[in-house]
Amino acid sequence: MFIASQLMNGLASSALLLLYSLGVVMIMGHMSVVNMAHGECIMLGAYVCYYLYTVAGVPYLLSLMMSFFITALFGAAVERLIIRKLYGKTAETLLATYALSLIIKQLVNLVCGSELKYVAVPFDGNISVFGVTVPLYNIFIIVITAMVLFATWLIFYKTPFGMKMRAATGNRSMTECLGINCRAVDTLTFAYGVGLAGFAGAVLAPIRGVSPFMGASYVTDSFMNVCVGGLQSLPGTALSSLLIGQSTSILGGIWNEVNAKMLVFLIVVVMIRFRPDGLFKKERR
Amino acid sequence: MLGKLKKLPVNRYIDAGILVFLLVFPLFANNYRVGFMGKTAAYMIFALSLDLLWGYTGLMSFGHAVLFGLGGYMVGLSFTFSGGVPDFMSRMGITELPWFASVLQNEYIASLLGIIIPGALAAILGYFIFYSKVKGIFFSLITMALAQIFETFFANQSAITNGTSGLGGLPRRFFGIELRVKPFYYLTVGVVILVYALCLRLSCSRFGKALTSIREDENRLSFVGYNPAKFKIAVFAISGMLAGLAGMLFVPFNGMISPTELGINLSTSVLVWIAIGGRGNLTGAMLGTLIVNWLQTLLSEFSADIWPLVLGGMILAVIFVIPTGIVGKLKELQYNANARKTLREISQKEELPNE
Amino acid sequence: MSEPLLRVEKLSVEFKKFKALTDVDLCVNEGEVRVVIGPNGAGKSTLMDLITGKTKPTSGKVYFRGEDITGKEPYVIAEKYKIGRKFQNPNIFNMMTVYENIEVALSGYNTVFKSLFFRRTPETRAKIDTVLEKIKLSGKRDIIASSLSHGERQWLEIGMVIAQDPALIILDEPTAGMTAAETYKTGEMIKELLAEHTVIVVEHDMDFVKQVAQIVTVLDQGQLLAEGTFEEIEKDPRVIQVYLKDDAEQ
Repeated sequence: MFIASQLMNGLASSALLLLYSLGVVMIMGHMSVVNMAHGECIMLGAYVCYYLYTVAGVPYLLSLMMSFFITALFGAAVERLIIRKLYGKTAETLLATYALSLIIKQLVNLVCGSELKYVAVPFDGNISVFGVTVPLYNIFIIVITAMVLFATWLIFYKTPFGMKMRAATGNRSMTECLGINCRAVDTLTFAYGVGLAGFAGAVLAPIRGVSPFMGASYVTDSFMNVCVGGLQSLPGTALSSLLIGQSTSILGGIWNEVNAKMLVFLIVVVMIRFRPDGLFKKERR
Repeated sequence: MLGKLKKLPVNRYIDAGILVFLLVFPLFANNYRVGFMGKTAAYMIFALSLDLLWGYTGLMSFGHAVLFGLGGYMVGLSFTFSGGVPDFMSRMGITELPWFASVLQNEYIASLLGIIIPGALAAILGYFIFYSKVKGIFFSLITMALAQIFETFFANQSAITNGTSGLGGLPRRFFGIELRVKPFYYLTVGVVILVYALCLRLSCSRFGKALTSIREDENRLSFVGYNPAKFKIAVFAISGMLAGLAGMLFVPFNGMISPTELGINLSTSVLVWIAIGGRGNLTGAMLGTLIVNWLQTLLSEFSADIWPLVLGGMILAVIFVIPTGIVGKLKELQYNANARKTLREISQKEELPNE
Repeated sequence: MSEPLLRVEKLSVEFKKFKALTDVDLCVNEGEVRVVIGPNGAGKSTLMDLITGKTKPTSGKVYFRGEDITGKEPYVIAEKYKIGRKFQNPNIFNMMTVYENIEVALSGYNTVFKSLFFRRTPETRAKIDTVLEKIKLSGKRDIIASSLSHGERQWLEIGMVIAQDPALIILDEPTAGMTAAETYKTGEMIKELLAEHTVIVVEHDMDFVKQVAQIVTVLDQGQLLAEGTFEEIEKDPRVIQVYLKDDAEQ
């Protein structure tokens, strides 16, 4: 019984981890840009959701979509103004996005106030799954994450845009030669990644609350997760989310969540020594 | 002909300026300001240690504060345990000190551990990361995770570390020497000078040249017969020990140590100081630390809210206007002037008819 | 027959099912100058990568002085077995001065411990000066390497190889992309090297090959096509065919 409920919790936290890591797969995996402001993008999405859903009374699902689009727009602007000028300069990109995170955090803090804002849980109530009582919202998280994952996969592998994007990450100069506008692809990819972060923020808002400083804790978790999954791989990241989410949940249930995280970190460090391409990277064909 | 280029680089004059400034500062300042400057001096050691790693070797650590904070916690715990079971423990109903307390109670051993443990942690982590095939950004990501996890871990172990409130009431002691503010300040500045000399010696040595080569092109270096992994582990360990030392000197001025001292914020801040000052020349690390910390105190006295915005703006300005930082820009100017002269001399010589 | 300096036995490597090199044999004796030629994509650089440890072979062995060095790390091959390599594109440390580039390459101080306690003695200084003299860059010793011309960069890399005191030098297209004057200067430089070292040269310029080669190895499509003196190779119908095809493309 205890195990089963831990597993259900683990599944929900795995789904959340995957949801807020997906943007990183886009931006880090496909553009080799580490966005230190990823947490702040999540935070922005959460604020959009708070103002639309809680303050203005817009339906939750619509607020979710708006969170995605508004943060994506913001992402496009950031790519145009800052990131574009720094491609290939890792250290500079890290510092610039860190500067950005400082500025966003403080602006939001000054404009909206530093106190934690609460967002009512939309699909309130519990449901019984295999005899375990599970909050309905957890089910919603799992479903919506699966949907976003599927949509991303479709965009990636089944649309002309996805093809262009994968072409641009594979061989830039060649792609340019084929007449594909890499700059537009970059902007769209970055915007999509940031939009996903905002979407994740809106999903997180009802369970974790909204504050200017909420972003910090998600950044490293999602980076680690994507590293374990093998940078560019969607299924890899999905599997590693499942693994990390479940193991922290189970270990956390019997031990202590922080110790569990420490253990997972140690395993990741040791793993990187022996499986540098990530746990689930397929052998090259 | 080459005399001009052999002249002392411009940044060595700035170094001398900074060290003289540190030495005369207490003559014109009250104890509060001296205490603040002491913290800045400790931060300078910290920044120097990271400059070896990032500026010279190109390894951008986002978790260097972990090594700094571990040094600080060793002396902090040592003092806390020296008076028996501390208050925060007895409030939790703990009557016995943890098993390692008896080791830490010995101040000298604790002080040594404050240097050894960060160095060893860096070496172990380095062994796993640098012998792996993963390159570049992974080091930054793993160290970032290290900082995050250590911060939460130390906050979580409240039975030993007093959680987020940290260990307070710490005296100004260093390797068993207890001093008042100004003498302790001079002791710290003395250590700054020693560490600076050590870093200068290292960077000018062949070891330092190998580090720069790793930054430039690690693969090429291995074809000249070096094992880059060993060099990276070595510099990470040295850098870790110096960071630990910096933490041990910081804590006495600060009077306390809390998990924020080994977290991701301080780790990133120190990178920013170096980036603004200019990386890979030691001077930039010291100058950047000085400038940013002074600005921060000045502006915070004026308005606390504005600081993150100013800092963010400064970072972006440096990246887009002077990507090599203040000192880097100055060095470039000097080098270009000299190089132009040398090349002109060479071409003049070649234009002469063959002797 | 005594053991040759370098012996390559049935060396093969595959990248994703693409056979870049198949069962290549090669023997180079001490003091020899060996030229490896072949059309683009023949596997010349791949063979050099395998010898210097940059790539690991799928099968086959590389012996140096009879010792198996197959698949060892590049730094072991460079430091312990003293095989020095000049890359096709000048591969130097751009942000360091000419002098520092040579200093880093100087043999014998390549462990962490030794490099920490390395001091510039009159001997090491003299040695660096000799190298700089040989590569004709004495006047530019304090110039940052990135501001050198393409030819000068090639020379600097040759200088780095000399500073390694190599027992075997591998030169990958040393005159590629140079002006006529630079090619001439480089030719002189290399001839000096050839007199003192065992060298494997990968080269395209046939005049140059004719001048220096004792034995020429011809590779084509990852396989050994022919081996012999320049005269023999010149007359070999298979080689002519391969090269005619290549010339026609160019």
